[in-house]
Amino acid sequence: MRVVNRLAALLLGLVLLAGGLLALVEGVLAAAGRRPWPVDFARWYGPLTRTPLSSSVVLGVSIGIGVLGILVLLLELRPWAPVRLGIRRADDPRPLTWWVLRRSVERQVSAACDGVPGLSETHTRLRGRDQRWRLVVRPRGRNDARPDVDRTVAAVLDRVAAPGAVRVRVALRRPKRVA
Amino acid sequence: MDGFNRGLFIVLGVLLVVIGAAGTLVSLGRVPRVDAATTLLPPIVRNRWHDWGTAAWLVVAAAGLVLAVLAFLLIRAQLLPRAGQQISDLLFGGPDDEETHPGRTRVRSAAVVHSIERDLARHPKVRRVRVDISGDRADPRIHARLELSDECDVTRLQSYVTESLTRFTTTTGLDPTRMQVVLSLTGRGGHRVH
Repeated sequence: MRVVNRLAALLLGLVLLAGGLLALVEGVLAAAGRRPWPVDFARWYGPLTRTPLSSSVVLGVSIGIGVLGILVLLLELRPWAPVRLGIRRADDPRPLTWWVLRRSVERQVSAACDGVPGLSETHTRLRGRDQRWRLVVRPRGRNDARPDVDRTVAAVLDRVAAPGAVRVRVALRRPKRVA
Repeated sequence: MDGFNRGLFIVLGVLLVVIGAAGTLVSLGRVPRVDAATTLLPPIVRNRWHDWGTAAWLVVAAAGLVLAVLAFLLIRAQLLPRAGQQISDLLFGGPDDEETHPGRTRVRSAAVVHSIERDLARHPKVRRVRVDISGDRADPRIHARLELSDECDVTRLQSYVTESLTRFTTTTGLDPTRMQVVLSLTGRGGHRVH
């Protein structure tokens, strides 16, 4: 979403820049009594003076704008996955803060689980904020592999210096049948 | 930048919803004070526009200029990474110190940054390092990003970084008032994450 937002902001900036420059050029030319350029007023001025508010075009455009606004709000207001999460602090009195990139931890957990015999295609989802982690691990494997998953996940969390109280949920998915 | 963009689009979304809702209600004739038969550009607005004469166009041009400048700033903010002011070169010696240490030594800020980067990169599990030092000599702030190879024990790495920081302070005389370390653990790749 962050990349989409950045691209959308770039596009918005380009549109506003073009609109601003157009208004600047048209305004200066009209104030100087020159012919309109690059857009002739008559092309947009005429329809605006003839179209009533009750027309279906106005209604359709208004509904479209409202729906677009609701979509933008839904996308922006839903919770976003954090880019980084806090890890245990080293025993050091200096003002040092430690973070780890969320995706890299997810990859580590998935790789470690897939390395356990009988487990494969592990899906990992890490959420939370700062020192509060919530981890969901969903490997494909038999139910009796759960202790192995718990041990593996605990080992990875210890290795990456995850904070003390991590809420871990393991949900095993049914193994694929071999034909 | 991400927080700013999010705020910008939330404001934009609210504006779109308000405009859309108002336009729909007016078009359906649900707003008592507004006649739905009125045109989009009603005569009263056209008459006011003509009364203003040239000034109206100058206002349009000025508004266009302001909009274009704001849009340019928005585009620039998206394209340029926002980094803090990099620390200036370190100067040792000088007029106050002339008797005990004659002469003056200038250490480039890039050399200071490279020194800690090289020291951190000496750890066998560190694959890539990027360090930014901002602030000034009295208030240096360090932001380090370390890319670690597979199976790295982060607790041991933390000890190494702490030692490295001590060496850095001893060598340069800079005692960071704030330091952020961001770790990226590189795995074997190809795993599903959400």
